[in-house]
Amino acid sequence: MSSAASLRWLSALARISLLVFLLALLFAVCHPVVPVALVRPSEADWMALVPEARSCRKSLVPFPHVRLLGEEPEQSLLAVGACSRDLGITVRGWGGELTILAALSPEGRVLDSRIWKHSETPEYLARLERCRWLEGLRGKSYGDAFHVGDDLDGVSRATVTVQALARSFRQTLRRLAVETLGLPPAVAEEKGLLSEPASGLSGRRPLLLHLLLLLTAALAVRGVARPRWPLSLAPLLLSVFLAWHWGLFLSFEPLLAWLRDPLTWPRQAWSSAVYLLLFILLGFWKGRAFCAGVCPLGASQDLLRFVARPFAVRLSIPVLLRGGKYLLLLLLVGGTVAGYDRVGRCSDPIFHLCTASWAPPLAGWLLGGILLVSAFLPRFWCHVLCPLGAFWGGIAAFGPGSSRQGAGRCAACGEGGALRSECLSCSLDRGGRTSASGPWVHRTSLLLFALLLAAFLAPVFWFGRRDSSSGSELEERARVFRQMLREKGLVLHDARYWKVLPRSRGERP
Amino acid sequence: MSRFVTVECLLCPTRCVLAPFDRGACGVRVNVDGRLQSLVYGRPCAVHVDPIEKKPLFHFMPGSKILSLATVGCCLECKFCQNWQISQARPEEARSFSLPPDEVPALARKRDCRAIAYTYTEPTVFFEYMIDTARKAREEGLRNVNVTCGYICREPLDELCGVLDGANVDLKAYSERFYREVCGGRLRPVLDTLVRMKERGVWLEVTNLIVPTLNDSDGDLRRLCRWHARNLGRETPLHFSRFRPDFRLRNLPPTPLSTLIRAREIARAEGLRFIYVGNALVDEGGTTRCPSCGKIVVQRRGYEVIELRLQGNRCARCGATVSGRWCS
Repeated sequence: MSSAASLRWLSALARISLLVFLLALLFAVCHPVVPVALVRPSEADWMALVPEARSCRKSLVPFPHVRLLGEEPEQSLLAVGACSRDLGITVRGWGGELTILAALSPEGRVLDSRIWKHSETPEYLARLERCRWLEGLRGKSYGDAFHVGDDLDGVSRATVTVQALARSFRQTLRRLAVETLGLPPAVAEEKGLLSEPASGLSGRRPLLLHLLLLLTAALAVRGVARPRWPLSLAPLLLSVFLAWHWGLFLSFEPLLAWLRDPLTWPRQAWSSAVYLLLFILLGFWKGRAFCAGVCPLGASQDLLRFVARPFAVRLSIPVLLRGGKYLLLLLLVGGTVAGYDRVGRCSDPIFHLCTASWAPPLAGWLLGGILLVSAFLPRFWCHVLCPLGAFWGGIAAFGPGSSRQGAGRCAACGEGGALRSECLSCSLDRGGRTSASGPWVHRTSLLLFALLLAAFLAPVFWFGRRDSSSGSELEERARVFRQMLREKGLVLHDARYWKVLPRSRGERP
Repeated sequence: MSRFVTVECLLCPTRCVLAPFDRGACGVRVNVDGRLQSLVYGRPCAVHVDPIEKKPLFHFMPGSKILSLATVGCCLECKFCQNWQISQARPEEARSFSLPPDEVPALARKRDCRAIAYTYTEPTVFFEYMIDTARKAREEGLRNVNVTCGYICREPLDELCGVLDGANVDLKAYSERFYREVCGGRLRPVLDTLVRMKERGVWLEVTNLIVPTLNDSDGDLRRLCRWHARNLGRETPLHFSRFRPDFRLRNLPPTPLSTLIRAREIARAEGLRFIYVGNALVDEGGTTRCPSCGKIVVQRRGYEVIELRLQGNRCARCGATVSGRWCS
């Protein structure tokens, strides 16, 4: 196959992969692949909760909910309703996750409710029905404590289920009241109590961090366009920081999370979603600027190439081999749509090294291998394997100026640089000019970056953040745990008969 | 030391390895800042006054009342658990109240109880609370009784035996498979606990819950009784208890009375002297006969002692010794 034909083929593959991703997203919107399959309640289900309602309007802001309206022409608001799953409220009963529907009057009183999905033993729920437990919720205010035993009846032999239901109602109703009806917050807000701790991608972040990330994006664009070291260094410094604390966009996982649950993920991980949109726009405008200027794995590869330059043999990557990342992207997208929720975990070893969600030695060896290969094949990972790079490449392939193939050859990217989807230095954007040392590679920048990277990675190896979760996840777990202690009035007391394990036995049995 | 270290709990043979903020299988011991902490110290979820026969302890202070304490949590997860609402709950899911160890003896006195029982759930999981309370009770002249599954490691058991007067241990079956599949535990540590308690001089009675189709065959019962007779002695009482469908074994019927009677016959054939049948109305299910003359020395109706023909620890008729801690 001639070089021109290969380039055409590669360009087509980039576009196809992005289109497939979009189609998968569309499919996911229609058939959400979430851990607990959820058929969404229909209008009839909502109307059954509030028989006086004559029409039902669905709204997606601030989270998916329905507004039940009265007779025309006034169409006064009779109730708002929501499904707990749409609010990201996952409460486990005895048998598994419980999903409820609840309708709240404009004054904040429960009109009716229903258990929508459950995995309980039918007998337990039959007990609830026999004693009409759900009817006991009617008329309660969203601000009530929903404490089993005080506000709500307990049900003998269905204790765990009943308490989980009470928790789910409490959280759902409070959010419905505050966020859709604008009612004042209840006195004792329940924040994620007993639910899964928020992951590093969905927790709330201070405003300052958002400003830093925006600065990163701006400097990335600036640094790619004018590779002067202070400008190009800043995004790298921040990207390492972000990799450490957020894992944001350093793995393919956020994109797959979006595919898995397209309606609730953007709301739950709204900061990730906003930046995803930002980087998509950046991708259209500047090609693979993310890969060039922000991704720390890319920077690490450039660093090694820079250090090993006197010894390394320069090889170019065959054009056809670059199609591998698109195939990997298609594989991951297909796997996710088919319901495999762990397929994205293999997409970025540096992320896993930072968060220690893999065994660190394995991630370390993989990272070492990638870096070693990149000394001989510049940006091997980015060009051949990185599915996130393929995604940005697909976006770049649709961007302005993408048809100008063969306008120049980039020193950093090799032959693929003739394609906008492949070029990591955006040489096409600079009128085909090529940079002698790559997009942003500046000795001072690289040395400082190396020092910073070492400083960040040192604790992984020397101080052993090797417990099953990353530091930020643990901090989050600690916060949720202490909040639970406060709210439930529990007190800790030193236990006896235990020992600290050596770090090598850090994994759970 | 880092706040985020992994610890191993050495209290029960499960030996949970806990990452930061993980809880053990019991749900009440948690790794906080690199230290193992108990969530239930001084927070019982159940405090009742029971007849001691309810534990069941038939040869220990008969007819007396006993203050019974429990917190939530259990180190096993038996599918037939009758108290699963508290044994399988977490501390934040069940209502509990504050009752420090210092206040327990006074409460027992106030309620006219001469002993304190750690019961209902598995007392091992609130080991620290139990030990502190038991020491206070000893100082006040009260007895301590442990109603347990016996799933505890050697060192804490030795410490516990120092403050215990009596114990009723559930020997759920003489089968590793039963323990593994039905209880989520192992048999061997329970047998070790029984033998160790006997060695340490704790008054011991054994309960075996007979679950239809799971541990009710003649072979199962004979093996259990034989081990009991050889290792704990023929004088150690054995209670066969009737199963009723609950928790995750609602598919099975209650134990037929004929099975309980058959179990009693097998135990007799193996030479056991004191065999009782509980949770069921069986003829002489709760009657103690003198092993020498065969006459009734303690007659019970349900949990009530209606006749006691003992002088000290001797049969009032023939004067033979009847083992037990009969006097308070």
